[in-house]
Amino acid sequence: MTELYTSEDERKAAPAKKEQKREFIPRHKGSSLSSLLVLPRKNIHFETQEPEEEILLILRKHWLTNIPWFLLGLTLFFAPLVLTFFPLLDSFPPRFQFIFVVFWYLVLLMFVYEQFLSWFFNLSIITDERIIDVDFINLTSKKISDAELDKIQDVTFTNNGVFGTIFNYGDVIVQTAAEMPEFVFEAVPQPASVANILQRLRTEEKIEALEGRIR
Amino acid sequence: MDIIGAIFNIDIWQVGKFFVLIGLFIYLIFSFVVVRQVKLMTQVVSGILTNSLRAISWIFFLFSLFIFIFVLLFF
Repeated sequence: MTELYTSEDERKAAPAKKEQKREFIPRHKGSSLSSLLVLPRKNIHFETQEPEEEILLILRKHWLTNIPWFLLGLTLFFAPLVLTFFPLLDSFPPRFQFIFVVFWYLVLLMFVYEQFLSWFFNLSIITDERIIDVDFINLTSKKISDAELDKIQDVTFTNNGVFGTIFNYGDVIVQTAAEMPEFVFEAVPQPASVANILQRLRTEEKIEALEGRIR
Repeated sequence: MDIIGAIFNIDIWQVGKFFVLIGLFIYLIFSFVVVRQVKLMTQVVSGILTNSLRAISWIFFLFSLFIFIFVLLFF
């Protein structure tokens, strides 16, 4: 009969999960602003992380996906210079002209900051136990989905488009038997490597289950 | 603009200041929401530029508050 409850004594008696050295995961790579962070520092945590759970990869969209809003922000930054050639605000007193320009830059800075936050915090995390997808949909909504590695059924990756091929980024699609049937890691760097790591982790998890070393 | 002010006995630029203040107040609220949003985000994933991002969001809020008070008092 399957045990539905494990007492604390039984958990303590079970062999602890050893810290594994995984040959298929490269050494620590990437910084805080990277799109691919491998074996990040131990002080990096996420909200639902278990005490012994180790973060292996943190994935964001490739930095190239930020180019459109960056260029838009840059263009809008220089937009007030148009006023020197087209005196659109000359009918307003100088103090109003000043405030309009200040307000323009305030709004622009907030737009740029929001775009950066959206890129920075919409990420996917791969740990030694599960995959987690963190989505901040807008200012007030967040969606966090996770699935255990042994629930992964299929991993597919794509490299679409000219830039995706040249800069080696694409989508990694993970089919799972969890509540969330599909995870899509959009425009992540080195999708082939990420897919390979997920497949190896899934295999490792199945071997651990067979050996009875489940935490 | 002067004709309107003369007819309705109002300073049209004070009305303009009022609308500017409304815009700045809305921006102030928005920047405060961003402060809360950054706090929420850094609670979900902590340890990556947490202090820097929180500081930047507070600087945005305080600067927008300064601009609002400046326009309110000295415009």
